[in-house]
Amino acid sequence: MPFSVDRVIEELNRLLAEEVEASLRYLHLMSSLDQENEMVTKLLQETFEETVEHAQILGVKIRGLGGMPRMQIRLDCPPKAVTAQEAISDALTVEEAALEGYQELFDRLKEEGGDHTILSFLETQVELESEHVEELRRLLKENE
Amino acid sequence: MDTWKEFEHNAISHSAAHHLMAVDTLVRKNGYARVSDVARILNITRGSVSISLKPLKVEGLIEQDENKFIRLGRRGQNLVDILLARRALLTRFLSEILGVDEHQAEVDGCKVEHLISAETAEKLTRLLRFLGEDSSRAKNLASGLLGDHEACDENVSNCPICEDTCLAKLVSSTIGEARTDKLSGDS
Repeated sequence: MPFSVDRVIEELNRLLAEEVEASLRYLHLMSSLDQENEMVTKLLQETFEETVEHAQILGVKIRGLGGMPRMQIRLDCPPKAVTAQEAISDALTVEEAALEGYQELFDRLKEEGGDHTILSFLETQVELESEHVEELRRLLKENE
Repeated sequence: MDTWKEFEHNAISHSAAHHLMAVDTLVRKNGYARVSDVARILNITRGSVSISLKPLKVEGLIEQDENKFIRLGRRGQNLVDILLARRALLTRFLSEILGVDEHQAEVDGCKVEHLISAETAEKLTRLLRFLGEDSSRAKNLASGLLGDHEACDENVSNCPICEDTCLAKLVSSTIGEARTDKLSGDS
């Protein structure tokens, strides 16, 4: 089924939810570390800021296509202290999910000859998320 | 019996139950399940699904291959089979015996399928079998429940089940109504 503008807006809204939810997770992880860890706190803070930035860009893209951003998230972060390793692992899981989301939409739109601007935006996001994923994988390994 | 016991020792949350059932539904339908498909079925984000699946992987309830395809592990499949059986049992009891609307029976069955004990499920099965063995039993029960049986007059002194509070009056209210009453009482 070819991608209509409405469908693209719907998919971008899913990605928006992904980013907003991820940013709240980072916030929660930051305040749930079992002991002070400057490196991990800084990493989560930076990732949080970038995720909020991505959400803002998605909002602009959705508006640009004539849609309205929809924040449909269901988040449950249990009150539990996490180790630095667990925090990095959770951040990696969330980043991998975001990367998968951008990659999947990019591949499908490309296959169907979708809008150039959106494709270029998605390609950039895939590159950025891939860098995050790589960095987090490296950190996870270093912290083992 | 071993499977029932196993479930008792591995009680899972409502969310975990839904994730496992979604994987089962997808595998049955498409032959595979991916995080994105589970997210669509449950109407949540991929991130949420991935985070929720982590402990299920550790417990061996699900497995993920190198291509990121998910399937239920043996224990996961056992759990899903038990949950589906309990849901079917509860739905039948609620709709066929109590006369609850079919959709509502399905919703309520889903809400409690992972919460009832093996003992309750077993007794419920016995009751359904008992009523099913002789159609007159079910008919008598249905006519008593839904037919011309005397309606509750909310007078606890004449009631065979209530002590000092009318249970019928309370249980037939919805939680939403109770909350509204509370809110208006608070203001």
